[in-house]
Amino acid sequence: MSDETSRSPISRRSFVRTGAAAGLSTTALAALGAKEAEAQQAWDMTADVVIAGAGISGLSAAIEARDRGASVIIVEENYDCGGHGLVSGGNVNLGGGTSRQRANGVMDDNADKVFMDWIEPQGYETRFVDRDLTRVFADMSAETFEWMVANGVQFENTVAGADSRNGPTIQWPVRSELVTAVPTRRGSGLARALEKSARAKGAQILLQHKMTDVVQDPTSKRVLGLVATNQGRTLRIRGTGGVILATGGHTSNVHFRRMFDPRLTEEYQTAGMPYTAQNADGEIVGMKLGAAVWGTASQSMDDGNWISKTAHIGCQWGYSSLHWPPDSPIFDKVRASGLTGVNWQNVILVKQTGVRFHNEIDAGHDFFAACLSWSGDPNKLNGGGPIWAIFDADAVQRQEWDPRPPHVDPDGWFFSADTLSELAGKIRNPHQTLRMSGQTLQQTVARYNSFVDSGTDADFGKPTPQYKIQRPPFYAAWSTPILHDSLCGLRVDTRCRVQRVDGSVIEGLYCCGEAMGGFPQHGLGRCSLFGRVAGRDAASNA
Amino acid sequence: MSGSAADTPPPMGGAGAHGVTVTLADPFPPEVEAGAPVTVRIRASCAAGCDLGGTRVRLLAVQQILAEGALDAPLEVRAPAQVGEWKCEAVADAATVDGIHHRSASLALSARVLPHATSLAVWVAESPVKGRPFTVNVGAKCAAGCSLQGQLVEILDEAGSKMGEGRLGSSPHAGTSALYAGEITLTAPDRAGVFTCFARFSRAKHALPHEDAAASFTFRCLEPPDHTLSVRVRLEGIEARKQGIEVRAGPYQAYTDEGGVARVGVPKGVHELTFWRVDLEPASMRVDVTGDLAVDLVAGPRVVVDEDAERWG
Repeated sequence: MSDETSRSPISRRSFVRTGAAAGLSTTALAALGAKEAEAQQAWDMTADVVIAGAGISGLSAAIEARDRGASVIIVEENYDCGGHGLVSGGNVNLGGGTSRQRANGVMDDNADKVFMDWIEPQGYETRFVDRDLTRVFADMSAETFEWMVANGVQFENTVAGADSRNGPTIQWPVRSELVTAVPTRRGSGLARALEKSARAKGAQILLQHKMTDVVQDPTSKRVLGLVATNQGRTLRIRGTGGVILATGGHTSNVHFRRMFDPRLTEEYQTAGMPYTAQNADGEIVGMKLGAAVWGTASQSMDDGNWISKTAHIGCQWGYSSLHWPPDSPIFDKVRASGLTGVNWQNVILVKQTGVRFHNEIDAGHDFFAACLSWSGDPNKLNGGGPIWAIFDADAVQRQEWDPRPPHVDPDGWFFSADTLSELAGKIRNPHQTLRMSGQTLQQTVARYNSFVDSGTDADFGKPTPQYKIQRPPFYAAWSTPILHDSLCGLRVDTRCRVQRVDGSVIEGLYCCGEAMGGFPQHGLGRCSLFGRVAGRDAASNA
Repeated sequence: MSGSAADTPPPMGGAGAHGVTVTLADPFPPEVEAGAPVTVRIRASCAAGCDLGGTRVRLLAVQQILAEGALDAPLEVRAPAQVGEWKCEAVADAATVDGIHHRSASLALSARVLPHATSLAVWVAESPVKGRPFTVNVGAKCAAGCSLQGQLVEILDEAGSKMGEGRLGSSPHAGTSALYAGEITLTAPDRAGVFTCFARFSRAKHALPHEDAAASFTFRCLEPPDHTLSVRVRLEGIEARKQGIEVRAGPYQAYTDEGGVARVGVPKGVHELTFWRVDLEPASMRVDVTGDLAVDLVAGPRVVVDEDAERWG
């Protein structure tokens, strides 16, 4: 491709129309099928590659496509780019012989080792992988790391994990371009660097444009483009090389996630919100065209990071390493940071009925199973209902908490009262389907306090319960497990082309990132890598 | 709810007098706490559609006027102090509108007056040594926020025998809105172990009726300490004050002084030593105490787990 083509925002093969259709030459129209020609007439914009989602996988796809001379339009539902990656911890797990590994003395890692580690049968997270996709990951792992560096991503000089494959990016230095400046949110270093590179290379990014559908040729079944809406206006955007679904995962979509686990009713919040939601947009449009869902065993396994113990209590979103500071530009939506650094000896956890249900120290999947167990509501059998952390003034003092806004959200997620009986009566939350009995809560705490006196938790085996809950005032803080990773999605082949149940390819449709199934890595490495695969292949069609 | 016209003969022979229906703007509460404020807005309507805007209304109870005012104006009254049924009557006085007589009318109202709900909090600051005096704090809260100053609270043992009593203080406990608390000094049982007791708030002498309330609680009665465990908490990897670290040997506890040493009185035997302060990573060690003993505990900075990094490390 010429330099002029690769530098221009939209290549000579793309064109933008407003209002009425037409603009293609007669010759060009004649080269298309009749239906496709008709469909061609109704496009508002056209590019070689159209991508739904400007997160890590979408931006990676865009850069890869631009590097191969394809014109790119990205539609992004949010007001800004980055998706969950922008507010993530920024840990990129890519190995196989990267420069970072060599700098840390690891000289013998290679693609085969990566592959073998990622198909380890004894690991829950590696047991259910699609090995064809895993081979792609292994083969492209090292080059994707170097590709990130070449696209401006900077990494901290620390590594972790087997063969030092894992390591964080450096947080993006421009504070005004951060959604949260908490130091552990280094994903901004990856997201903003990729965005900057994508824009510099000429990808056009349409923010606040929500993909609502894809357009399929009725005869050939080839995907021709997508439909997006922006402030009530509908746009039909043609992707001559393909449409890439990079919309993130599904864990914010209650109906969708319950396909894998009926317990995950509406009370479970999703990490990364309220900045971005994982609404299964890509999965749903793909499934409408007959796409298969893939690798579902990964989603509901009793391991992995699809569910986490709340680390910041008393707020709606308390995902462990995402602690929203009050100076976040979206704090009006976040509303509270939460009380953090919880020592689980200082609180007990109760169901919405006011009863304890598990050892509070535990943070494994037995704990989650107990949280998700039936709450006792005869009108709501699925889901476990809210989980509340109950504690007292002594706990507040020991933890050096400030139980007031902006640390807590008293509008349904944090309560205080003079007595336990009063506290139970105050708890009102959209997901609290039963009134908590004051007598029940009082009895629960009295029983727990007796375990502190005896030194043994006779009910749930909490190791040496240390502190009574006795000194007023008393507090109840939202502490319900929070969802995170989407670990399954649409079926794709090794070129990230979306496949039907029978394995046939839906021509023109691609999927990558958390909307894709078959490689359930918690982390940004797979999102970027498979984004590149999709972008590369879609560009090859242009 | 509405009521029909009263049997009040109209003046001038009654020809053409209109009937009136009395209603309330909001439902009369079916239950109300004794002495609680209640707002009533009495409305009246004429079947013929006359504007009764100037009609006077009254709220009566036992033939006494509780409040009166204009139609639809808020009338503020208080529920009686006696528990039981509270019967009222909303009355619209007779009125002449545009030369037409409108009969007075009334609406019977009824509510159940309840005692104030009360709840308790009980806390024992320090586990007592067997046979020695110790303090139990008992707080009582009226749901309506009444002052419970001077009210009686009692402590009963598991068999129901009274162990002690005390009076609630004059102002709410720190950090609470209306928890009135008092200290009760008891004598610990003469043997070590865990004991269950009950705090009781009953027979309140108050202008308004209050529910009785009770709460169970436990305390651990300790063996008297024989020896002193001097625990030096050495800070490593953190610049922080040495004072104020809680050191525990089970139920026995003390705080470090300026030198970072906590002196914990413990009985002979094996103890699990732990320490706590929010900036330090918890740790523990076992010690076998046969005499006065000095030990060191090493404390490092609290580890903040980045779950993202840890899981894929």
